Amino acid sequence: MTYGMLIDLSKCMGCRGCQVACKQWNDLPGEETSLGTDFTNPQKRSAYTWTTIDFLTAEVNGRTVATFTKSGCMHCLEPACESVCIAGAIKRQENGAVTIDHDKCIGCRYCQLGCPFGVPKYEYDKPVPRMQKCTLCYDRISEGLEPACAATCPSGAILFGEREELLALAKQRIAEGNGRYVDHVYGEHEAGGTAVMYISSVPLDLTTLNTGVTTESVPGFTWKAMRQLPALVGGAAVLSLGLMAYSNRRARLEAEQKGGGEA
Amino acid sequence: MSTMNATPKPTKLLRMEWWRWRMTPGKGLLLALFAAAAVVAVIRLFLGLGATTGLNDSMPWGLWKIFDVVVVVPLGATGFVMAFIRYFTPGGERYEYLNRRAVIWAAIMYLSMGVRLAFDIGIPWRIINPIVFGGNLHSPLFEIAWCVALYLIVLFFENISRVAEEQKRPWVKRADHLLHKILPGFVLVGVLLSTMHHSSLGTLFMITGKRMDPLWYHPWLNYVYLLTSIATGMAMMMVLETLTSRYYKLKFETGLLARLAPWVAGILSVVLIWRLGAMAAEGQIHQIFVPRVETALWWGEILLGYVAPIAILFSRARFTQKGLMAGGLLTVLGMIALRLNVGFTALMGALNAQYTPTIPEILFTVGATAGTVVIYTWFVETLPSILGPRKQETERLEAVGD
Repeated sequence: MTYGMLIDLSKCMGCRGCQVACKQWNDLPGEETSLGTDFTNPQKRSAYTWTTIDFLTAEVNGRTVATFTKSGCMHCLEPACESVCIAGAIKRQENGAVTIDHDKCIGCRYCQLGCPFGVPKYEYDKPVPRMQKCTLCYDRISEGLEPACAATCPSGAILFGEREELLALAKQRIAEGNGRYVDHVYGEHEAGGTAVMYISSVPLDLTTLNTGVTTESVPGFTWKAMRQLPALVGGAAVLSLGLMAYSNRRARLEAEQKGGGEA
Repeated sequence: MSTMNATPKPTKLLRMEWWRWRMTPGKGLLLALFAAAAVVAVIRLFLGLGATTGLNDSMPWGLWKIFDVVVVVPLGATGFVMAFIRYFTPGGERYEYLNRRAVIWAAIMYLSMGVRLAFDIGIPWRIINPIVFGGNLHSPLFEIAWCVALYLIVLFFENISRVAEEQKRPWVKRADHLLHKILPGFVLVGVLLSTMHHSSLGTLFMITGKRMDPLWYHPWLNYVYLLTSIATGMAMMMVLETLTSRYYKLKFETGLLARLAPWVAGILSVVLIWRLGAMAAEGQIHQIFVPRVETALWWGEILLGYVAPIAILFSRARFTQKGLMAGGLLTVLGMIALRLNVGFTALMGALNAQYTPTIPEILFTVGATAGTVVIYTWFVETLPSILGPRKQETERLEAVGD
C-alpha cells in the first residue's frame, strides 16, 4: 500500500503551520533567517527545514496574484535518490515513504545530484553530517497517525491517505470544480509518479512547483547504461582474448620463420 | 649496483635500498604544496565540508569530486590501456618499459583518488562501508567503488615485480616467474574492470537527464567517457614519457608512441563525430552558435581538445617528440575540459547551482596532484627497473622475464 499526500493549493492560506509542526515533530533546530523579496521564510529548505511555504507574487493581467506552495519531498514511486545511493541508505518503504538511514549514509551526496526536485539537504556545517529530508513522518504513519504537517493544517489543504484514493479525490475535485482547478494533478506522472500530489486553482507556472520536470522514471536514466555493462565487459573480454590469441599466433609464426631461416 | 645487496643481512625481509630518492628544489616545491593539501585535509576533518569548501545544497559535487575523482581516474587510464597494448597486441613486448611507467602511474593515481575521495565524502571513515557492508547494485557509484577496489589489487600484481626484481632470494625469483605466467590473466581482469568504471564515471551524470546543458547532453555519455579515457591512457603516456625521459635523461620512445598516435586521433574523431551527431539528433546543433559563455567553453574544448590533437596526431608531426607531446597534452586537456564542463558548466546549469571553490579547496586539489608527481619520482628512483633494464643484471632479468 502506498500512502501519500494530496495538497490542494487552493485551500492553502499560507499560515506556515505545517512548517512549524514539521520542525516540532522532527525536533529540527530553528535557523537564523533573513527577509527576501517575498515572505518565504526561511528562504530555502535546508537540512534543518524540510518543508516551507513558498510565497510567490506575480502580476497577471494587471492584477497582483500571491500564491503559496508547500514544498518538500515528493516521495517518488521510483525515487532517483534511492537508485543512485551508493550505500543503499535511501529506501522507499512499503508504505511509500522514502527515508534515509543515517547509519549507512557515507555522505557522497549523489542523491542531491540525482533528485529532480532538489530535495535532499546536507548538514554541511557539521564535521559529521547527515543527509536530511522529509520522511513523510515515517515514524508517525507507521503507527497509524497522519504526518505532522497534514495533522496540523487548519484549512485542510494537506490531505493524507492512500495514494490511489487521493488521486481519485483530486480528479473528482477537478471535475466538480467547474473550472476552478487547473486540469492537472501534479505528481500523477511527474518523475514517473509521486506519492505527494498537488492540485491548484492558479496555473502551475505561478507556483514554485517544478513544471519542467520529466515524466519519465528517473532511475531509468542511469540504468539504461548500467544494464549494458555485462555486454560491454563481454565484448571487451572477447576483444582482449581474441587479440591475444592472434598476437601469440603471429609471434609463433615469426619465430618459426626465423628458426627456418637459420636452419 | 648497490653495496647493501652485496652484503645481505638475513634479518631483513626485503633486501634493497629504500632510499635512492633524491630531493631537488623542484620536488621540494611540490612537497610543500602536498603538505599544504595535508593541512587542508586535517582542517576539513575537524571543521567539516562547509567550513573548508564552497559546497552547498545547490551544488553537492565540487572540485574534490569532479577533479579529484572524475578527472584523476582517467589520468590513471595509462594502466589498463598500456597493459592491454603490452600483453594483448602483436609486438607488445616492445612496450614493456612504457607499461612499467604506465602501471605505477596508474597505481599512484588510483590510490591518490581513493584518499582524496575519502576527504570529499561527508564521513571519511565510512569510505569502505559500501563494499564491506554491501550497497546498492543500481548505483553507478557503487559499481565504480567495487571496480576501483578490485582494480587496485590488479595494479598491485602488475607492479610488484619491480620490487621482486630487486631481490636475490631464489624463492622470490620463482614466485615472480610464476606471477609473470599468470599476469595476462590479471591484465585481462584489469581491462574489464576499467571498461566498467571508466564508462560508469560518465553514467554518474546521466541521472540528470535532459536537465543537463544541451551542449554536453549525450544519450550515451558513459561511452563518451570510456572512449576519451582510452584515448587519454595513450595520450597521458606521451605526456608522462616526455616528462620522465627529460627528467631522467632516458631515450624518448618516439617510434613506439608514434604508433599509438593514430589510435588516439581516431578515437577522438569518433567521439567528436558522435557528440555532434547526438546533438543533431536531439535537434540541438544550433546551440553551438548561440552566444553564451557556455558556447565559448564548448568551442574551446572542441577546438583545443579534439580538433587540434586530431590534426597533430594524424599528421607527420607524430614522429617527433614535440608533436607527440603537444598532441598528447592537448588530448589530456580535452579530457579534463570535458569532465569539468560536464561536472561544472553543464551540471551547475542543470541544478541552478551557485558554487565557487574556496582557496583551501583549490589548494587541496593542487597539492594532492603535486603529491602524486613526487610519489611517482619516489617509485621511479627507488625501483630503477621501472626506467629500464639494469646494466649489471640484464642477463638475469631476461632469464626471469617472460
